Amino acid sequence: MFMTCRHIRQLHDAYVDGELSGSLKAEVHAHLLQCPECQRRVETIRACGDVIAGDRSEPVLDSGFATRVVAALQKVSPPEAPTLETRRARRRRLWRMGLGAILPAAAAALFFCVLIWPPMEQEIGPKVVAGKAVSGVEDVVNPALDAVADTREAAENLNHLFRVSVDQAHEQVLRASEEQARKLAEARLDQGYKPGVTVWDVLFEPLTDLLEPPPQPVEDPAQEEVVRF
Amino acid sequence: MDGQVASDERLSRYRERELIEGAQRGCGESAHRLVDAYQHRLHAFVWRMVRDRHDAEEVCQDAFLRAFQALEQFDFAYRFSTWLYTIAYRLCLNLLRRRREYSGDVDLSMASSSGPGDRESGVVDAIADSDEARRLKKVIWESVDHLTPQQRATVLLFYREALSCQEIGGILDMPAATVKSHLHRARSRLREMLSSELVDDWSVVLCRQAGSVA
Repeated sequence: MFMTCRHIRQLHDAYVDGELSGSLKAEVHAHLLQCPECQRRVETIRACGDVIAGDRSEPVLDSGFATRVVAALQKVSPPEAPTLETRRARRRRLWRMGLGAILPAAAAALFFCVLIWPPMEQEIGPKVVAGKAVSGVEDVVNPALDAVADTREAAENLNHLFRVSVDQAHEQVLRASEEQARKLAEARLDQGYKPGVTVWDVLFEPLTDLLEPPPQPVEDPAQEEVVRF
Repeated sequence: MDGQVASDERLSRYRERELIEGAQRGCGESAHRLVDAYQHRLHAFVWRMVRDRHDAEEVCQDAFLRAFQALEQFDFAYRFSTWLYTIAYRLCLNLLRRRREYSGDVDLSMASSSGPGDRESGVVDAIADSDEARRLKKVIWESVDHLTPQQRATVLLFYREALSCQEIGGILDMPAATVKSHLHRARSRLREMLSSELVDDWSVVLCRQAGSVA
């Protein structure tokens, strides 16, 4: 396969790091022999690697450094834990904090929904789970069905009693509220309130009197008969 | 001590474990040995990251202290150097972030003017001791200074510490694929920044070195 410079350049790093297989390595090597530009690029990276790996021109620590570190270590109180935190650890911590805030909020929202949501009507009576008895097992199934039917009847009776008592309680509450409303209205009348008169009527009473046309004099019925056709 | 080449004693896994267990028990001598074993490698890495001698020493001391204080949590499945580099890298990033907040942008190439590259003596050439080699190394290091902190740390740990992308990912807290991507971008940027004359000059340096060895 003929490889262009573009293909070869993608393999430069792997070639320099010795990661290529035998045939590919030979192909890149053959290309480098005939391509000065690719050779230049590879040699540049090799030169950088050589200098970074081999050059020791950094300043060095003085001989007392280790003694100072150990002395400082003995001064520092042991319980002081390192505060270094990696990005991954921070992400995990923030995620846990987020969950810690979201979960109680969700629980609170669910709680309020349950409080506000209108109660659904539920059938109190038990459901019949068995159908018709299969032939051959009537002796076993029939008593069970009877028991279920009895239970259902008892539940329906209880349900009926419950509904009756609820209706009675509801009527009593209505009567009580009507009675209370009536007493309140009487009390308001005793204090001078006029039924059906609003605040606006009281405020605009003088103006209403002015705008109201004067009462017409009562005409004589005889004249009225004359005028009438 | 400028210009002195310091090489750390490479500890075996067994010896390292012994020292760590000693330091966990509060043995000052074990802690001292551990500092001795890693101080120069760590300092070289930190100095390349922050390019200030005072800051680099402070970061190194802080990194050792934090590492020893949290030594109870140390997992012996990893090397102590990985633990140390992880802490030091986070401290370097914090320092660079603080610098950026104060001065807008960080230009490490300015810091390098007072670095060892300009020292008249003390530059130890690993490949060849000549004017060309010194100049090229200076150019390369200045290009490295222009990389992002992540790219710079990746390049330093990859070449200097000979760590795999997986190990570097453990230190920089990123997947190995991201490390690979940082390494690729760093190389591309270095290629762009370095002039074309570099290779020719480098060839001259290598030829001279070969001649001097022969």
